[in-house]
Amino acid sequence: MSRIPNAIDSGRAQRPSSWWLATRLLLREWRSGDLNLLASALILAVMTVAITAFVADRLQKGMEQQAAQLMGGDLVIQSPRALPEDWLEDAKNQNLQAAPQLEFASMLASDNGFQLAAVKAISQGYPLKGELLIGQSADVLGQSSQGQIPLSGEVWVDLRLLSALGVTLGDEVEIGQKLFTVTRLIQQEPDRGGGFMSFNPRAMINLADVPATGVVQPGSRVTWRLMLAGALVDIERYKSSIKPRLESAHRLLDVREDRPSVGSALDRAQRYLQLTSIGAVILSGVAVALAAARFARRRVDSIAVLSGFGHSPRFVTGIYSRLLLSLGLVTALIGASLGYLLQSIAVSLFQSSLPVSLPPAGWQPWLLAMGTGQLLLLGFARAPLQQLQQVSPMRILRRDLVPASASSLSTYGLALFALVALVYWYSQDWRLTLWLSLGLIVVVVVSSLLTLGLLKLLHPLESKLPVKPRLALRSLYSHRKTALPQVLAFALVLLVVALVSIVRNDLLDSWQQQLPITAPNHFALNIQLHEQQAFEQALDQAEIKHSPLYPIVRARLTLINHQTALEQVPEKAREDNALQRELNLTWRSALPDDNKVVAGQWWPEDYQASPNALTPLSIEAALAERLGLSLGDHLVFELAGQKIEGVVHNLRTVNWDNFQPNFYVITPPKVLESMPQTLLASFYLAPEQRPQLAQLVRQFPSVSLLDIGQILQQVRQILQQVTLAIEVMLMFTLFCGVVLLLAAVKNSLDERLREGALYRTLGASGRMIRQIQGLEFVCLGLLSGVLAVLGSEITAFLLYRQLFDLDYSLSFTHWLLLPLISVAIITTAGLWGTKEVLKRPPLQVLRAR
Amino acid sequence: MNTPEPLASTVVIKTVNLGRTLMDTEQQPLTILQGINLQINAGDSVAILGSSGAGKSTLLGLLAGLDQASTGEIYLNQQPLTQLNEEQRAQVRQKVGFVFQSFQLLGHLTALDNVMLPLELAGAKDYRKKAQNWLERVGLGHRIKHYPNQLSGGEQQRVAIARAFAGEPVVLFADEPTGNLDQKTGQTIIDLLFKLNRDQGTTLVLVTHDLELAQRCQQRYLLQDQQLILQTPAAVNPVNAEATP
Ligand SMILES: Nc1ncnc2c1ncn2[C@@H]1O[C@H](COP(=O)(O)OP(=O)(O)OP(=O)(O)O)[C@@H](O)[C@H]1O
Ligand SMILES: [Mg+2]
Repeated sequence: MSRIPNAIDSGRAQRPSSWWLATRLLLREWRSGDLNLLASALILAVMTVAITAFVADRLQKGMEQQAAQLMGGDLVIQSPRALPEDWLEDAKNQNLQAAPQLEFASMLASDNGFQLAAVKAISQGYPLKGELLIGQSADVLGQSSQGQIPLSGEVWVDLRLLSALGVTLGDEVEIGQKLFTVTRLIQQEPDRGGGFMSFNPRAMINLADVPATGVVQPGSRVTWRLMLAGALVDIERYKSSIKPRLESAHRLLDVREDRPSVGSALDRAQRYLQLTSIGAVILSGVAVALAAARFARRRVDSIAVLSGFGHSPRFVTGIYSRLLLSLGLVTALIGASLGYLLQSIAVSLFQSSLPVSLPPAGWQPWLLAMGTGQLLLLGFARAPLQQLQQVSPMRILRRDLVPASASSLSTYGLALFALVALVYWYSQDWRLTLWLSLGLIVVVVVSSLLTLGLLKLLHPLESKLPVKPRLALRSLYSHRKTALPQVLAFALVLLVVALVSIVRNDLLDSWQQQLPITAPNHFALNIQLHEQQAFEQALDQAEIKHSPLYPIVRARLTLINHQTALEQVPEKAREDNALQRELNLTWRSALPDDNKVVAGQWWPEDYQASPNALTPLSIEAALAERLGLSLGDHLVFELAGQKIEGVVHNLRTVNWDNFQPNFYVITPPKVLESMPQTLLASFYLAPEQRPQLAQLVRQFPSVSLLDIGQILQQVRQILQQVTLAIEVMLMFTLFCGVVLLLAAVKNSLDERLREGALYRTLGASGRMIRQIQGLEFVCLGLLSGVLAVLGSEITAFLLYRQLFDLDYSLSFTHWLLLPLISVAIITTAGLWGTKEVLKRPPLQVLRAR
Repeated sequence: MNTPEPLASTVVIKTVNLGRTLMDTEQQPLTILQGINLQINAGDSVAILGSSGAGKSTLLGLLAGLDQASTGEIYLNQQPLTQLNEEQRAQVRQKVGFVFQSFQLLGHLTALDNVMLPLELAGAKDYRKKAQNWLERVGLGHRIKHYPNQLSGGEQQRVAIARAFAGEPVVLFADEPTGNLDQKTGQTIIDLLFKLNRDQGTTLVLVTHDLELAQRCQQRYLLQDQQLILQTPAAVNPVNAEATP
């Protein structure tokens, strides 16, 4: 029966097979109840991870869905030329919805005027994602297009175009060589393609009408898009099938690329979700380690007996390996199922406050949760149990032969390995893994040294103290070997909770700052120099909050280091928009808010251009990277026969998320002032100020007004959803943290209960015992709290810089709050857990230990 | 029976119909002690004999107020233990010393720390010196800095005895105080016990298998079939007692 090689079996045929014995011992272990704590820790761990993973997965999908609406599809292929016909066919064959569209700029003409507009030619199926709101007039809220698109010969226009052309619905307008009838007013376009930087008014026609207009010729500047939507697997399959066929001019857009303002929010949110999951894993690791250590402590004697009866250490280990294996499987199944159940309940409770309904979770969270359980078991439970192997049979006779202490390198080594593996698995990000592991190691080492050092330092003072603090301190000091892991566990739990809440606050703050309610929702472009004062006055009179008027010089980058720009840039940048069109240049003496110089230096505020010197240029960093520009490069811009020569003086990052006017190229003042220029302003228009806008449009017909309110609205909605996600995760982490803290305290009580009972037999009053133990708990809590603050500051410092791109600042409330909370929880839980000492006869307490 | 008595024969321990019933693992009641009536006067020395599992330790724990009786009454130092709560019983125990069969030393404290504990809890002044003194008297003056797990069983037992002595109790309960000791050391401990009994009038209640120790006590009881039987002054052999009811 036994095919497991076993040292003791050989030559002792009369013994029951080791397999049978092992199984019986295993069953006995399960029945004894001592495994309960370890099993619950594992179930809790797997459950926590499962919930986080399920919720994160669903929220992630939900957010991507939302963002896909902004983009118009789950996947978009963009190209300056028509895309091959079969791509569309392929997509349809692969169960995807697909709709091609074409966008170009064209002059529209009516009987009353001309206006340059962005024309979007759409096909059946538009919009794949989101809603197109159309209506008959500006005053009534439009209705969903319900899949309707302009019929042949129809054009739908937005309000700006309507007023610029001086037409009403039913009038005719000309696009190229074809006449169209204006039939609908566009009120909300889910995917204002090309980003909101396409400032022109909007028009929509049927894709089939494009040839008849004769506007689109080979070489015209147009953007073709193939919008795709469908199930994730189909999208992914299509994506990989299409990738090898992409040319340099083609761009695959996914949610993150297309919308930087949402993209970075999603990115950070995702990182946050990762962080909380990792936090949950660390919490679980702590729980499992504590429970396993306790189990090992309780098993030392029986193992000694087993080996005293002649069972080899290998046999003993064999039993415990099997024990771990079965434990791992059972708890993983239970934990993951519980997690699935709980998250469905939680999500359905929150569903009503979510802007979109969350798609169901995929299978990955199951794998993640159950795999995590196994890794936790390996990393955090294996080592303590492994030590049982080293228990000597002498232990029966002399109880001082303790197995190798839990602080051995292998314990921490294994735990660290498991942790690093898990963090990497969760984040797929070496940087995060590195920084987090580094942070944790630093925290653990520093905390250990501090704790031990402090206790050593205080020990000699003991005899000078009154009796209660003296006994408390002595107990702490003499328990230091067991107290240290406890303090570390407490501190780690608090650290994770603190970190998760600090990051949450700062993330939300940064989003709130990014898009305050009164963030500018309109841009005014093409303000002529001579209109400057009048325009500003008009805004002020209408009590519209506005930005300063920024000068814009529009020029084309022609030469880089004395060669044609097209030849100088890397090959894949040849089709870059920045080379195809004019760039916006402006001048500034000071670095704009929200911009950061990443290379070179900003010029001094009082910079004076000397007549012969080359103009210093400040270039947006991402543009510079795309075009391969670096400090010291010589650039020439051209406009209307004039030249601007300059040298790249610094590179600067721009915050595109804040919807403020941003510029690719900035020069010092005075250099550009003589060039042809227009002005740009952004302003916030409250809903009730709408009539003033119409007034403005009439007063300054040549000024282009761009309404980005809808986009802001959509972005806000996404942020709101992300915020909610973060709140849910935070609450959950907090909950787990508190539960775990309580469990950790409880786990440390065995010794204290015995101690308390003994104090009791010696006639100590309840008050005395409470005060001594209370003092101990206060010290433990304080120490853990301070270490947690220290640790969270260190880790937050590393994470902020490296991952969230947030500015880090010390938070003094945390220094106060965390130790207080820690003391409160640990002391309360500790005293509560030891209260039986006061109520039960000491002999019963002692017997129960 | 309860008439006021001269000081010398003040009753320190008295039980009326004392019984202890436990629930075993299958929730079946298990009666260990039943209808025990016992009276011990101040300054007496009493030995309790009985076979293993007879309930000696259980009885001792009850008498010392460390456990709760199921039935009957216990008076310790005139205090009705069964009517007191845990807090009040602890108060009574301040005058009581107890040597556990399993020693019950605190493993993380040194021998000295263990012996100091009752003194410190009672708020004694020169607790360190006193504790050291007691350790010397049980022959462990040179091991005071050692932890229990560095001491032999007998040494641990002596630390436990020193701890019980240190509180200068009125009543000292000892559960097999010489069980782990060799003849000579055992003799020293026994001498020490009776010296305490003589000099300070400490009442001794001992559970023992040691005949010599039992012989030196004024009274001997045999615990058998949940009952306590007073033995005649004639020699009692606890091993035989098991065989002959
Ligand atoms: N908490 C308990 N639960 C179950 N049974 C108990 C409990 N305490 C004592 N017993 C049982 O009561 C009986 C008496 O125990 P006790 O320890 O008093 O015996 P003893 O006379 O001191 O024996 P020994 O001489 O071996 O020390 C034993 O059979 C024991 O198993
Ligand atoms: Mg006993």
